[in-house]
Amino acid sequence: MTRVQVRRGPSTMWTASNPILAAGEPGLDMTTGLLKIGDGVTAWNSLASQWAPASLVESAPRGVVAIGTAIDGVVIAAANSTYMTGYLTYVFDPKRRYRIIFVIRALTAGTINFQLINQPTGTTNVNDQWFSSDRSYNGSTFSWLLPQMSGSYSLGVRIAGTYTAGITVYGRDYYLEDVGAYS
Amino acid sequence: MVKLQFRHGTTAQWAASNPTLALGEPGINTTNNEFKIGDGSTPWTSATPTYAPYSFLTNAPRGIVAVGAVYDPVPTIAANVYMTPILQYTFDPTRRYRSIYRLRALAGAPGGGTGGTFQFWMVNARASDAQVGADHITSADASFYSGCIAEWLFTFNGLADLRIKTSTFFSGTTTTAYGGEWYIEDVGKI
Repeated sequence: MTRVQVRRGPSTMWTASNPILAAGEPGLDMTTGLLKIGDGVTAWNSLASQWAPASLVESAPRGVVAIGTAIDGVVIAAANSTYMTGYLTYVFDPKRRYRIIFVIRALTAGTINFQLINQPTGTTNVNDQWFSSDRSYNGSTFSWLLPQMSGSYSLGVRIAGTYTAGITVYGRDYYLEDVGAYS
Repeated sequence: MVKLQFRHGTTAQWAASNPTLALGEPGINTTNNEFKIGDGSTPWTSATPTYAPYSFLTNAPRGIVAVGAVYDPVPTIAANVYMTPILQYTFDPTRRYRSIYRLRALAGAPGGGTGGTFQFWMVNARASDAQVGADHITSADASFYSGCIAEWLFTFNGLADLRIKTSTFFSGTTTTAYGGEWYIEDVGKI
């Protein structure tokens, strides 16, 4: 059996010899894992890499991966029961970090706090702490960096703690961002 | 002419035989486009490095793609006054974007009153200042001497001349505000 092997060597070898790969000829840097395909003209050191190790790509952020529904015009009845958003359900990869963002615009009056909740249980505060409070007539962006999570969760933002009953709050964007892999 | 093909197989085929590729020998999984280069000692299922399909890179966020200018201070504020000059950008409809505009403290109570509320829209000057995004997002000021962030997650198709203006809803008649920064982030493929 004939085996095909890519032209290869450590970084030091490639840098020192700096060859011109033929058009379509692959070359592998065994030190960095970078793979280049020649164009018949450009010497190795000036040739861009067309391939990156999957490990590098996979550690990069993936951006917004899920969008939830904000509820616009919520009248606060009672703390710990009024939700500002619908469910945002996502299957979390324990190897990755996530950030959830919730934007509100002006309140009609009052002061309230927001809490990120795992909705199916209704009691589990995902990040185990109270979050930013809002001043009267003030829009805000709430951002939670989530703890390490694995599997499916349905998350929602609810009103908690100090508040003024009967006030109206306006929700806007509610979404989940993948901010990269744990190193 | 001899046709050269990389060693290849489906996920099931690779898993069943689990071969050890020779040093520098390429192998492709035709089920998921996984691409591995052998090191001469590691069997396929645990071999490294692997190469990611190009689509992975095109899906990834590209970070800040445009930085706009801000007025500092903003000319005297009234309803429907522009808070920023125009920022032109050509948007890819297959990608998602976030606009962040930071406003620093207002100079005083709007209109000489005791406080005020400001709301902001992001609009497209190329289309009669139609608002961009599903709804206008607002971020209001707590009274005066207060900073805030107006933030929108949005999609758009093609060339836009964006700018941020006050909405019709605010208290008082005039005041002075100071723009901090305004930029557009590419937050990944939809």
